Amino acid sequence: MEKPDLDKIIVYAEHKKGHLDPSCAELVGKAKELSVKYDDNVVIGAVVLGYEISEVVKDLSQTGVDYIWYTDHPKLTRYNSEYYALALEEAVRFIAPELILIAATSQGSELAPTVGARLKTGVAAHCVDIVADDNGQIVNIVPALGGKFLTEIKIPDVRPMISTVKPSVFVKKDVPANSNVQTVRIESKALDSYESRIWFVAESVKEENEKPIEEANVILCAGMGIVDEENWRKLNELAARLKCAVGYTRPVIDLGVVNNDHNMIGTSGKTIRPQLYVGFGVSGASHHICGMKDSQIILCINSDENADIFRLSDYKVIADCGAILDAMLELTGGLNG
Amino acid sequence: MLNIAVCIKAVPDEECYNIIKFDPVMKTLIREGISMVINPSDLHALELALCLKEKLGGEITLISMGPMTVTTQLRECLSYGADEAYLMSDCIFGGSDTLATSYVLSKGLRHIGNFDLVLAGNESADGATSHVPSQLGEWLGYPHVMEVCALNIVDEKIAAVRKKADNYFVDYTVKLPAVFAVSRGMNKVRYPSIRGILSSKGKEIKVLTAESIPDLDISMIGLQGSPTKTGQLITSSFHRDCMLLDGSNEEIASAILGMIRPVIDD
Repeated sequence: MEKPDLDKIIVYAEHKKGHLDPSCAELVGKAKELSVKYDDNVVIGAVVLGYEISEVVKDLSQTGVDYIWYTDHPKLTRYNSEYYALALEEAVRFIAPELILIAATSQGSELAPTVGARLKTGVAAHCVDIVADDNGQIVNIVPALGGKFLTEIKIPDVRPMISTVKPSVFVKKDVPANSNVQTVRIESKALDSYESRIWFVAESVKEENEKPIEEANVILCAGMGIVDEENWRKLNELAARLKCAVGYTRPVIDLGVVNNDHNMIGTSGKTIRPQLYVGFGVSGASHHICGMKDSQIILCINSDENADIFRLSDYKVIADCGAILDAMLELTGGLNG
Repeated sequence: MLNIAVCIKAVPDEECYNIIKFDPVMKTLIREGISMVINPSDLHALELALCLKEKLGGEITLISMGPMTVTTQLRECLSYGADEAYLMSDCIFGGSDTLATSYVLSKGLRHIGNFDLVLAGNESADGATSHVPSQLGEWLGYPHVMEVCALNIVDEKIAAVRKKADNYFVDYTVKLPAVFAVSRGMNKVRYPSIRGILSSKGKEIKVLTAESIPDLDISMIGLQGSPTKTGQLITSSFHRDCMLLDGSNEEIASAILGMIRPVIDD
């Protein structure tokens, strides 16, 4: 296929505590897939920012990218939206790519629109797919109205185009490492002279054994039909016994039984694709479906036989989810453990 | 005394999502019969503004961009206790993407006055890009923080905020003026008082058109100012062939456990 204007695709490589974020491989996989459409005639690069990041750069060289551009600077020791946006903007101006892929993590969700505004370019948010059309133009498929519809976003006239993708939306592909990766260090003049107006104070400690919900094989998901705190407690007890992850829909947060929205599944929360999704009292609102539709097996329990979620389920149980929870607890060590 | 601006967006009522139909010929949504509401996240931003005003005193100014019908949602916001409302409404604003929208809002805010805090909901229920707060901050030249779930004013120049970041929280202090995107988990939205409802009836909603703002760069707004072009709407229909699991609760529980156990994580 012709490639009217696509020479370089870059992935923003996020990392935490010396480890590359899993989203990086997902995005490199997509970049590679697009490159194949353009007869493999596209440079795939990664940009990584941080301080003393030689190990991360080394790991990045195994992901299949052709180029790595990195900025290593003390002001990038930990994520600061102002320093990171400045360094990313500087890198992008230097590299001049046509397309930038950024994971819609907490960090990427700030950086993408910020850098987009600085470069006066377009950002397609939360893409569920990125494809090339017959004319070789990049088309972003994004959810609209909470996933009820999908729509296409193109950025025809301004470069670079920026696309953000939630973690787990793309499947990680095994891209063979390029044995001849070019590594380029960007010396940031802008960072030397800029003083941020945002100061880090403290960070809550994450429980070490807490695995991100995106990586769980089985997810028990609470919907509004869970009704009360008692059932919510039972669901968590069951999940603890079976070592499953627990997710929930927006209405469960509004019920007040969850005290944060870290594991909310849907358009404004997490996207998951576990081997097995078990929904307890999930009704099937479009914004939730958007976040779980790619689960391998979907099993749902709902007392309403007309619940929308059943149209997307492989297995349905028409029953009170409290009663099923009780029965499952009985079979896994008794109601009271 | 704090000068607080709150950005408001009118969005289709989520309750109506299931009756929203798509016109396959015109490739547009049939909006007929769809009621518009205040974007849910924006109410949490307004609630924060009201709490800060109660504690520290100040003025709350609402700003929205949209058709003239948005006066309904702005009036409703006034009934919660906001002081003033501005609607940026002009047909040449139509078709603005997030970059153009944030540009228009930034020009409106600059025109209205000086603000210590600019608050917005973290995401809109319809587009849900979560771009406008950051981009508004960029146009205004203010620092900006997304997903703020707690905020205190340290002194007139500094706010202390807690940001939700993936699976943990980070605390920052931020120099004011600044833009903060408020997460829905931050607070519980109050109900408007009867007095608030009554007094909102008499309040004027000031309309700003493109002409109201002398230094507005027309090339930055509307369709021509929007780098992103939205194409066709596709109805996303997902369907799987569904099998009924039947039997006693115990039989069903046993069947579900039989599916879970082989695939649970190590």
